Amino acid sequence: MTQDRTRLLGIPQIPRAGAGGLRTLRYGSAMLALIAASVATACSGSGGSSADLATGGRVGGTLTVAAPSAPSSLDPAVGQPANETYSDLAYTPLIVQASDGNYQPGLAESWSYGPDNESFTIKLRPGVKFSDGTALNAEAVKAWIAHEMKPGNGGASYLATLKSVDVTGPLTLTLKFSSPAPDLEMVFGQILALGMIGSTRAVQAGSLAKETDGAGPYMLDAGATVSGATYTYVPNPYYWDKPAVHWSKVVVQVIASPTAALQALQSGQVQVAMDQPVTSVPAATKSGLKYVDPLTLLLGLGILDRSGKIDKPLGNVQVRQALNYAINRSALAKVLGSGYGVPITQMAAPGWDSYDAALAKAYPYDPAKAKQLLAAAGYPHGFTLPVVSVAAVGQDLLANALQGQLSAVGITVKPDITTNVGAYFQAMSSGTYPAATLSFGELPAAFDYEDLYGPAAAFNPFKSGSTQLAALDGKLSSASAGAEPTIAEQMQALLVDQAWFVPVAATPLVVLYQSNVTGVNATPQRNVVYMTEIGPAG
Amino acid sequence: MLSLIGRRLALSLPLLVIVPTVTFLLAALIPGDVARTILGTDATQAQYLQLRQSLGLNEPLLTRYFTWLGNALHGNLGTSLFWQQPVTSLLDSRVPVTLSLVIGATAVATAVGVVFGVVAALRAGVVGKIVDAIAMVGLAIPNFFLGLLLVTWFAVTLRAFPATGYVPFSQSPGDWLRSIVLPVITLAVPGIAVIAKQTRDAMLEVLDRPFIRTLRAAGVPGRSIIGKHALRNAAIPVVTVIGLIFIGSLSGTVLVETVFALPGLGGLVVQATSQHDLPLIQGVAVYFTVAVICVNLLVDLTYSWLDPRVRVS
Repeated sequence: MTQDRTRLLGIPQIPRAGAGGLRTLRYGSAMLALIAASVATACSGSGGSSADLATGGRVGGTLTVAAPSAPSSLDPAVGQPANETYSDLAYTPLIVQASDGNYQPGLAESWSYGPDNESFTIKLRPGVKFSDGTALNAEAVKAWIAHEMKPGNGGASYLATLKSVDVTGPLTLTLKFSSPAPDLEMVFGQILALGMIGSTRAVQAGSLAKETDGAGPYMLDAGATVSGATYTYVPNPYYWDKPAVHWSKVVVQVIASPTAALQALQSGQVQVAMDQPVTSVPAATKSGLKYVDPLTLLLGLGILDRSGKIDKPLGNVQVRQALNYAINRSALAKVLGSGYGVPITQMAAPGWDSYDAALAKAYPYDPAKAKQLLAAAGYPHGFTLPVVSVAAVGQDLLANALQGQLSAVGITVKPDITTNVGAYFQAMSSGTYPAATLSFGELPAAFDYEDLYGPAAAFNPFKSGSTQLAALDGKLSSASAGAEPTIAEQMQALLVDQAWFVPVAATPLVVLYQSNVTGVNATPQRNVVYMTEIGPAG
Repeated sequence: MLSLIGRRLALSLPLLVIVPTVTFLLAALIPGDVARTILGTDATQAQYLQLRQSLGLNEPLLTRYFTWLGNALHGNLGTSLFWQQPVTSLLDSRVPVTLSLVIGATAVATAVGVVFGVVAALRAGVVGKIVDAIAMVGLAIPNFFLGLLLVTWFAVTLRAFPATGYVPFSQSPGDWLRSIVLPVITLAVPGIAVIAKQTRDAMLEVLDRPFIRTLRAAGVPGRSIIGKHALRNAAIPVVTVIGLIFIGSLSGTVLVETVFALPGLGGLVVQATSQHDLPLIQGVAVYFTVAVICVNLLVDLTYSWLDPRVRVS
């Protein structure tokens, strides 16, 4: 399985990548965010209407939302950070994940897996139209999947094993895969968003980057939109579920500065601010604002050169373990999370499906032991460790803190901190740095391997491999939902034992909102707030 | 007059080539890659190379520059690499915001600064010192900090003005005015200080000239001496400063637009730089250069109106 998309690397202005971009968030002039979502219960559904709509059809005036960054393209197949905020308004997905984690019908009336999870049949809801008035049918979905499969778009990653799309009726189609393809509800839901279908006309016209043409409750008002600054949405006249339209207008205002976003909320100018740093919470609550903290951002050091190709000591597992023992995570978590941070020793936070509580005390702060391990590995006087970092979401702060803490055991960290996110990615993936500070959000365990540490993962530029991890990943791909956590924990234990990473802290991102709106839903089962669920209170 | 305009424009034209050229070279030195920014972390190397190819990033730097220059000479500033939209349409939608700020700030700074300066020149005692002190405080306060204070007081506490955002004049003149009041004040305050000091110094120098004493001896009313004779003679250095303040305000918009989340050129150039979007950076450079040329021309024309000898020279 080759996916990712939900693991967001908390960096602003970083679009979802082609081969598996991150559909994310970030925020700005400063920082950003990331997101990810958790998979919860997968189900095969039928009947009903798109659920979880918070306000029972009451229509308010204008909803103004502050978002930390703007999408480079409005095409949901292209995606990018913060894209969910925008695409959710105009594109109802085939399958909707409710806030309790369950999957419900969206544009698809029902769906089902075939034998061995190698086929997937979708039955579409009848009577659905795109915002241009053309009908949604099986051919339109097939055309959309072809669009998604273009190089650089999401399908190229998430549906990499897709063999064929067979239209079996006006409203039914079957997808066939060359190997088991689980978690397709997530793929065709809001999180991975391949089920956010655009009209065939718009795909052929190539217009989706600048305008919307989906079967969602709203559509972009291009005349009232300034790219990169203000995006105005108005109700889609053809939308099939009228009670789900809560506002006569939705304005998404790009406010990169968290301070400006908070002040806009405090002054009543905006009702919701997406993906804000946790440091805004005290001032927000003092002003009577509410918040949810759906997103957890993990910060840590990624040891990229695990074979010691350009920095020989890192090829020794004792050295990597020494790095883990030399870090005072409690102190760093307090600083990085402004009092809300939690120290972590594994690449998952409490509550994630790959989190193993037994690993929580794996690497206690023990500089003496770190020195002992370094000496045993043949580096009693330490070594030099170049680290690439970026001035976003606290990564730069982490890099500087690591420099101080690791010097106590003789390791000379040389941070190379860029202010340019693109430059950071380029450097991190270039194979010229043995280590990098990392930040990322929750991803279902089934996606971890390909996204984070498998040979094809972006965070693995030296293509390190492990036969044990590869075998466990194979088991995970075809495992039942109940068996997944156990396998994921085994993988996590291997990572911790081999010390491929130096996890440091988990810090939350928050969504701030005023009390005059409702439906700002985020739960442990679905840690993303969706705009279409927000409605007027009262 | 036409000849003056023609000469000034001819002298300014090289700026339109020099500034974008220097901008291009400097921007090319910024680490990073727009293709990587667009693709994010997960793209394969093949996808990355494919996107670089499609964006024309594999062409030599000089080739890219001369291609851009050739198109620019035909009025085509290219397509934004990140937004995939024509640069001119991206910029045109933001020009009204930045112009509203810069013109508004210059006007406010001029009006208040000149009054402060004249008062300080005429009342050399305590009043003058107070005006001086106010001017210095205005100059010392960083405008982003002032912006935050203004938002806290007038937007968050009093809710008299919006904290962020911009309303087009065509949509609602009243809301447009409310949306630019705080950013204009933020941008204008340093200019007020500079203009006030320049005006005071120039007025003191003019008021000490013999022709002023002659006018007074001839019984010309004091108000007429100040408004009609002294101020006009003192105006040339003040006009120079006003022009510089207008130009300085263009760069000041970068911070102010960020603080107030305004969709102007300043914020756009910050985004374009972080995205390594060279055509967009170039486009902003061209627009800013045109603005500078226009302001300099306006300043020159004002000189010639204030002092006919300028036309002759």
